Amino acid sequence: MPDNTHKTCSHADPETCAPWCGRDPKRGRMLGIYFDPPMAIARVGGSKEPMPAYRWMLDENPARGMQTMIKPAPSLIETSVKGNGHHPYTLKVETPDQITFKDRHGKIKPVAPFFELWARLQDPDGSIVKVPVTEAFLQARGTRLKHLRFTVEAANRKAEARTKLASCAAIARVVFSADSYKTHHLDAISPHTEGQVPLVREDAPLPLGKVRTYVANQADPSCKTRLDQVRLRFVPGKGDAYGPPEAARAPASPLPPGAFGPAITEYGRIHKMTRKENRILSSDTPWSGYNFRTGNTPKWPTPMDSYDGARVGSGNGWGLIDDTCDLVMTAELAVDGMAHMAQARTMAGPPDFAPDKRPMYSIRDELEDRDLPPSRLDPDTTPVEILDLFRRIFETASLVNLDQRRSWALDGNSQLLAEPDGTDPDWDAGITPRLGPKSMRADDAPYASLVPEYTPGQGDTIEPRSGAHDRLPYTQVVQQVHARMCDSPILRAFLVRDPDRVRRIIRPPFAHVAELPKIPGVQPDPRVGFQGDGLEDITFRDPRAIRAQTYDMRMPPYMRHSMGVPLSITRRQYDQLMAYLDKLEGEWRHTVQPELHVDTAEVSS
Amino acid sequence: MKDHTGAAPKPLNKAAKAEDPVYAEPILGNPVSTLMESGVGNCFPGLEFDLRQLDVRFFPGLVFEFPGVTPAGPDGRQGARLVYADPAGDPIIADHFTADGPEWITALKRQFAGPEGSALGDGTWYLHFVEQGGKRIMLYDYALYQNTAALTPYEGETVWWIIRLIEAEKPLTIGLTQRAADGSPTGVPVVLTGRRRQFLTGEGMIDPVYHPGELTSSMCSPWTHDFRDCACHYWASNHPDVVLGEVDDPQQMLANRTDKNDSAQAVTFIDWMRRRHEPLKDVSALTTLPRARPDRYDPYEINLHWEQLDFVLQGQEVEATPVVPLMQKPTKYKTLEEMVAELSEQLAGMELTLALEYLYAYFSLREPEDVTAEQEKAWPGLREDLRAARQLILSVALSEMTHLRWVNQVLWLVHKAYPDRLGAYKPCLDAAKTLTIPKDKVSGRSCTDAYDFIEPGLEDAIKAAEAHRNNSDEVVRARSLRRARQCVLAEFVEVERPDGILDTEYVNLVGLLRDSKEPYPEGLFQLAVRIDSDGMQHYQKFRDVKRFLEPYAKQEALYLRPISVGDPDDARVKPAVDKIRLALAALGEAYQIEAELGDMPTANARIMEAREAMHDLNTIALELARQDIGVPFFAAFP
Repeated sequence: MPDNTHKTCSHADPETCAPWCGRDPKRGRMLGIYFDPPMAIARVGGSKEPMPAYRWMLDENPARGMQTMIKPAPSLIETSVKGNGHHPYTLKVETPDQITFKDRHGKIKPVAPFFELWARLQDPDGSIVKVPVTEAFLQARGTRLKHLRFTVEAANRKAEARTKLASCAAIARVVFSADSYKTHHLDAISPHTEGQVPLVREDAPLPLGKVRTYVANQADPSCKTRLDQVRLRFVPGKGDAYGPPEAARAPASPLPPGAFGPAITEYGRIHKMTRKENRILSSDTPWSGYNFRTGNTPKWPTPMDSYDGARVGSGNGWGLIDDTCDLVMTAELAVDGMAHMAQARTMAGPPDFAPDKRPMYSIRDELEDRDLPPSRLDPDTTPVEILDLFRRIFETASLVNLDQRRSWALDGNSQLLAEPDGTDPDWDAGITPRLGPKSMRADDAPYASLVPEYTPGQGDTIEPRSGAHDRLPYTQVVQQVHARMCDSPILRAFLVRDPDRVRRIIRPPFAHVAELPKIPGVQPDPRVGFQGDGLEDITFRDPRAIRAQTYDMRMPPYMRHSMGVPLSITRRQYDQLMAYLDKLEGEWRHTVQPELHVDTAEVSS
Repeated sequence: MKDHTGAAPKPLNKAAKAEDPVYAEPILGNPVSTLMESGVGNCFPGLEFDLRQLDVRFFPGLVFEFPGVTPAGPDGRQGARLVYADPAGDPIIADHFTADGPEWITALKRQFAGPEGSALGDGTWYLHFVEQGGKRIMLYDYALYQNTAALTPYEGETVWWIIRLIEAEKPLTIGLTQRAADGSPTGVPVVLTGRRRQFLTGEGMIDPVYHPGELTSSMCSPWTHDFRDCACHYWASNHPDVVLGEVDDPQQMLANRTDKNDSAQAVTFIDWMRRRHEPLKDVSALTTLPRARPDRYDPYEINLHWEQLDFVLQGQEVEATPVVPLMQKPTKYKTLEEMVAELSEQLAGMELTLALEYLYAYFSLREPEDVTAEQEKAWPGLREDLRAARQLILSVALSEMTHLRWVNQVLWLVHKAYPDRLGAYKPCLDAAKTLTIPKDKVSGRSCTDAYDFIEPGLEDAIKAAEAHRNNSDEVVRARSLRRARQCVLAEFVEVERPDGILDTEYVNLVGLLRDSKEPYPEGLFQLAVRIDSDGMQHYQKFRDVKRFLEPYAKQEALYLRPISVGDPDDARVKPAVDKIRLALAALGEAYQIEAELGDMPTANARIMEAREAMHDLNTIALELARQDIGVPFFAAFP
């Protein structure tokens, strides 16, 4: 039973109160402190107003079909304690009627994540309770807010990564106590030694954002909002580009992405590349004029042409960096003679311009694929997870220009394999799935099935035949086909009816090291191990094989993976999906549909 | 996500209690775009941060980089190059005096303190092999010259992938060598044994060994460089390729969820990265990157203009989320029995009849290849318009066939759930003899010409349907086979219009399933919503086709074939009718098997048989159309 002696929660129903609600703050042994979330993405924006909170939910509107939408969520609004618009600030909770993504000046609202500080306590019975860190909690533990120390270190090392010089990094570090409620600016400078020219000088620092903590709001104590809890907030930079004074205006390459022009400079439209007030970086560092071709030596990071200036004229860089960064925030505290530390990370990225669409291959998927064991199949959760995967596939696919992706990929295939005439419909004869103009056409059976039916006017061409009203013929089909897979009965029927087709049409991920042939092309490729007839040839991919680099219509079609190879879903996703197919053919064939205990009474309306 | 601290493992930043198990929930105050679920995990170099950077420190105590080759080609220095050995800077092994961790960490500490660690302190070292599960993978390509194997180091991108494929929590051995000028390994490899780093701590944070700034160090500089200029699109979930333009009513929340003023609204895919100040900014997106390039923001230009890019919800550019609550009409079927009767006796047949009427209209269109050079010269765009019209009408016809399946699926699911009340499921694959259509919007019977076929002898069916009709604004007509003339297309638009007859039936279905407390089978509601929402697509497609074929309306021969319905007994026509019968019979068998959760391979074989029959029908019908003969589709239903 919770000890409600100390309860000050305004939340009426003790049954739904948090386990720590009303608990004696002195109770239990302190094991440690932690931030929630341990990692969060911040997103740049030029507005002074931060982005309000919003959540994903399932839209069940018959006009649009089942799909993910966003809805406004309770947001934490900063309020000036003194009422003068300045620090210190406290927080209150408001749910906006709607989310506007830009302010009235057309500036994008930055996503500025909060981080809550929690303590982990152990009770005498061995149970572990998580408790919000508040001023009252700290006092009960014999310490105070001013002894809770935050260190926030942020850096932009993009120029350093290319020049290999720390004097081209931009690093900011602030240290403050939890009762320091002013805004702490992450003004970065370049560390350097005597004689080195810093890219970012101390007298003109690079603003990487700011961090704040808040005065406790005791007005309406609730275990749901915990407005007296210690929180940090990171507000990222505006997303601006900075450069040396010379990086003002220049002709831009008019070529398609990835293409390089001859070393002449007059052909492009001329644009301003930085705001005047942002031309604050040093000119005389190796970052100005950096060129990935220098010395013809291998370079890291790749892609090597990933800086402004790389694709025009000589390819010399203009010396630009931006105000994005990634940072680590640390909280340190001593209780009962023991030091406790919590850390969290955040990274400032671009806005999520389609916030109701989720990646099918998210950061979470990648991290889980790297660190977690294979997922366990569970008749309650696995169907939901697979349905969610297919919903995310649709969400991504619904915004893909498949016509462009297909033409780009097939053109690339012919270049990769040194085929002089990539438009020859049969240059890839004998290869399956097809790599040339017949990819995703009738001759690409058994991979191609629906698309040729839905695109009767398309021939075996790299570029689709499309006029003003065609509306991207391939793109239309992918939307139509994948929208259906968002619905569980349709998805289930699709998976159950012809699982071998699913096994064949999904591009296998790469094999683990322990599965790879020692010598590619000499020892056999690792089979996925399907039992069905005609599936013996399906193998995990080998990054050393040329066929691992060529694009075909297997799912996801023509999209790019890390390091510029064709994308597959993660090994963990793949194994789960394939194991699910096995279950659907076997023991879950009848159990996925819940047993119904039907009341024979009239259906209630 | 191994717990190094003794704390309870916490999977990333997923809140303890999510309202919906599918959707991750952030903490109070944070939008979902702060979640790792909202960021893109495939990186070259990435969007939010570059996950490839994790592999720079894949082996505790060592820091690598993965140089790729310049346009000049390989020079022996590509692969995985050791930047430095830094055991003292790696929290896992920094404290080399203690031995209280896992055994492999203690052993690794000894190696770094021994000759292996000493060797790596001097010179340039490259990763030579990785070994796991008894499989040693050399990081060199083999080439045979004069029966001798030559080793060329793989470039960094290949080596990175091999490292990415090392499994966590399993013993790992790596070897490092120095290299000769040609890239071939020299000397005896320094061998280290250990494990691949766990990248996440027990708290769900990326290992603190990665310094601030490391995870974004390989990203583009400035970030806008790649945002505009990447040689590929692979981030569509956050950075759309194509969107639908902003409309007056972006979420289609008007009463009938449409906008009549601009018939192209919300159906034209436009390029999201288009320059917003260009006069041609709202035209259809183009099919290749080179063609799209001139109308997109330039490099440098994007640095100061990226905030002009629009946010996109449900595929459409918007300024904000809608304020008004979701609109759903309150109508619904009153009982399960009413629903089943409507679906089996009305809707299934309607879907099939519509599919066949649409198919007839499809075959009535000329093929783009039939357009002569003179015609194309006089009517520029005619070929492309025909190609587009054929694809759009066919896609609706195929979609109606899919709806026929879904209506049957709804029926077999409820029959299985309520066997006592509803009895056994029987496939509904009979085409409706009549269609109920809006009276005032279309020309109805008057929209016929000498080529059209209005099925005779259906007076009784019409009378029965009229008795069933609820709305005096509706009229009942016999099923017909008509060419895709403007008035016919206008009728198709009205039939598919949201709030129209078809839509209302499905809204009733959705209403029943939404509001009922009965335990309907899993997903039934989703299925109903899907059918209903498809209607909007059909409506928009027909509206679009009607609009862009309108310029040819006065000279129908430009886009229509002079086809008339063929005699079902004609030897040229009969095979087409037989194929329809064959397809429907096969579908009926398949549905029956699926309904009983029976032998799925057989069900699939039947469906493949049906599809094959439809492919054959397509071939025959095209050939007949070229002879100005239309398929008498309804002859398949005596």
